Amino acid sequence: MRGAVPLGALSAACGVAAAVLLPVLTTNQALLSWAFLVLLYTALAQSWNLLGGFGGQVNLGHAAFFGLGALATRMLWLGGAPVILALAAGTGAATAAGIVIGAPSLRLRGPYFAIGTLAIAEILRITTGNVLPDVSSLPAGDLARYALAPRYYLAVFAAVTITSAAWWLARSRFGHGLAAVREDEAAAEAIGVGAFRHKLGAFALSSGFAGMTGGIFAYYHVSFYPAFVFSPVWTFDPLVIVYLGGVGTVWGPLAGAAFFVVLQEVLSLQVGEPHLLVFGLLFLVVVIAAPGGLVEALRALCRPGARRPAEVGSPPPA
Amino acid sequence: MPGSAAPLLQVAALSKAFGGLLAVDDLSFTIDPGEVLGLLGPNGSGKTTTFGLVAGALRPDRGDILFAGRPVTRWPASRRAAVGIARTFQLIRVFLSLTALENVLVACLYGRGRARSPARARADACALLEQVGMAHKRDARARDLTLGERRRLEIARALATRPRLLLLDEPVAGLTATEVDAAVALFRGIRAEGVAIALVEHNVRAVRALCDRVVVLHAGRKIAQGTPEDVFAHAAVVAAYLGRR
Amino acid sequence: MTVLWQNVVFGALIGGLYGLAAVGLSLVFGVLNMLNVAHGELLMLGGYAAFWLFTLFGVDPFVSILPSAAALFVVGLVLYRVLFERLASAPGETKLKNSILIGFGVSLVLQTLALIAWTADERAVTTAAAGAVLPLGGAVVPVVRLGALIVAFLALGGLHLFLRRARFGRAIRATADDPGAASLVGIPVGTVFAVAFGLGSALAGVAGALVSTTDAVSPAIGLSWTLKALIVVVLGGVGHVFGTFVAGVLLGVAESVSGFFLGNAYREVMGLVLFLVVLSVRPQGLFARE
Repeated sequence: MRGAVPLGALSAACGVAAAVLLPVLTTNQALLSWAFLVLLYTALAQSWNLLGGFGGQVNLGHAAFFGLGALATRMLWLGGAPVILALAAGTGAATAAGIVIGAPSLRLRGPYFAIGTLAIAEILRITTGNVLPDVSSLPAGDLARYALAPRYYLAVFAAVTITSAAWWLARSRFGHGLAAVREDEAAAEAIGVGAFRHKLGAFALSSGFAGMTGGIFAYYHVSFYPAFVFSPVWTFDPLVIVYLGGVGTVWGPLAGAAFFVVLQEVLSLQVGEPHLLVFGLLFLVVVIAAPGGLVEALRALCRPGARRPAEVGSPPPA
Repeated sequence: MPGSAAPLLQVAALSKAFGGLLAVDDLSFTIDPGEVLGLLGPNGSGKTTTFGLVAGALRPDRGDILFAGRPVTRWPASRRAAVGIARTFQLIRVFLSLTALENVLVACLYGRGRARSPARARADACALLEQVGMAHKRDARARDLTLGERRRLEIARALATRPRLLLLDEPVAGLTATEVDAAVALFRGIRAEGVAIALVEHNVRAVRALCDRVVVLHAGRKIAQGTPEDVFAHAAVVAAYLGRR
Repeated sequence: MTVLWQNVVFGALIGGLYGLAAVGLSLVFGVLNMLNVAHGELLMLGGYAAFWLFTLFGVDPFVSILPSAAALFVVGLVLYRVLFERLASAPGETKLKNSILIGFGVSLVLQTLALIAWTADERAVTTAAAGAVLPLGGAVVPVVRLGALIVAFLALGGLHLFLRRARFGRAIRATADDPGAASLVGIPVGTVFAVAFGLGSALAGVAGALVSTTDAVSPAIGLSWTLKALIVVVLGGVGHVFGTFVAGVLLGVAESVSGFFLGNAYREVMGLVLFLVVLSVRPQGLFARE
């Protein structure tokens, strides 16, 4: 570990500084947009990673919390509240929903939990589509004042905050307990780790941060159908990103998100949605043969043969 | 020492059925502080179920469990670990993708003697790995360890919770004779530190070497108890293991 | 009142297809302890098979169920050998979780391949019998839907007989019960797993071909059919062939009736809510013996 910690901290600091300074250094809207998407997907993927990677609970209803945060933020903001307050409220609403939904659903065994959460997200999507069928558009005033920079900074904030949460999770007592629960619930209980408490805590963190990301999306997107924010893509995209990048690692979501956005840009010119095909195939390759994802592959390239110091948040067995 | 203080563990009229099968039937026994109690019986006699009930992985249908005088019958396993009941499993359950050190570290952070700082916890974990002879495999992933090493890791992890009672479920099964002797020496050391041990084991040599007393189960009921010598000579015990002639 | 009855009839008719769609999934879950969440995409492929056979060669979709089943059986075998087989020896929780992940990846790939090959356009099969109806106590029963229900019922009957009477069918049931014991008595467990997976996929193919007679087929229908199948599997209990069929019919009727009372927009929601209720109260299914 000699020198590894300071180097890591230095790189992270440089990265954050670069991200923060980007709007100052360039006015290229396309580049900023691209960077925004990478940060937004990093935040969303990392939020899923907290429960799915570190916690080992495959949540297929993540879109429910993204959507709740998005809707709450959108409605409060367009209703006149300052966006920061609206965002905070959206995050709070998603966290509360996470606790309310998590408590009963975490009692279900693995596959039932996955399908149950998916069902809940679908219920929200369909109901929202019925109750709020009209598209939500920005009024003329907001449209005229629209600037990418504040959205961008919020995305930086979210990506940094949620990744910090992941970093904390990988090192804290709670995170160690969560890893134990992920590996073997009964054995974790036997050494004093209350499994349900830990799973629920991770669920609340995960859903709250998903709501934060959704709120930023709602602030960013000029117009969208309310039901869209509950679409399964907001579960499946982060899931693919997390696995491609390296599930259960701190930097996996960032690596995966960058890869995801770049590939999407490169391939979007083709007909159909070939980028999804590539992602699907890569996802299968990762799940079957390379569970460490991009992070692990990069590590193997940089330090071939060297045994790396263990991270509690290292990938669970595939 | 055994018998001179109030019992550490009291199990009274414990019963547990799975569907139509009565796995544990009106079972009562005690364990004194610092004592080593053997739990013997043929396969299917309810030994592992008893451990599950005492450790809190299972809830009994009837009966009570008192630990250090407190009724823990309804307590979840994690709470019992916090007051000093630790266990190992018949089919070893270590945290496979964590390293040996991390396996023990978690237990140091959550057990009865919760380490105050992460550095302290790490130091304690290293010391425990040392105690079971696993210090050299500190950074190895648990899934890369051999059976004997995983056994030792599981014991270190159980010890990390600073138990007063350690439930060992067939700890020397599948080990070579040398490994068995090493394990017995380790358990003697644990017992010397004042930890009571309950041992489910088929290996007669280990039982004779370690146990102060032995309880024999058959079809969920207690059929004999006493010192190993007395019990092994008991006709009912022989019949239970070998079948009636 | 007749409108309500009409809804019930329609619900029962579509419910039979739900049941058929679910049985394939239930078979794989029961025998291999794997949840193939790409099941809906396999159904979608069956639908396309029927569509193209009809459009290119004029084959009636009711006849297409045979080639569709055969093709999907092969697809299932290939998927199993290439992707799922490696999970067979993993412990329960890991196996299940990873099968969900792999299934998810497969669904993504299949959906996108279909999108690239056949575009997102909705396809429908309109046969000569399309408009014909039979009267049933004040309601009208579209002949095509009735035919689909009957075929579904027959397919399930055939499956039931196969599992009960045929030697290999019994081998499948034995393996589902206890793979360890099954291999000890000489059953080729690996082959059983592969065939069961293929069979489950074939049933999806049959369901897909039948779906093409009454509903639109497009690459996007996979997810909703997977969800339907999952709901019915939970409602009916894993591994009960006719219980699953009845659960499917129940779901269909529940959806239609709730659509009648709450408005069409809430049909799907009803099914999902029912699912959650059963999941929390009786997760082993309504018809399980435990």
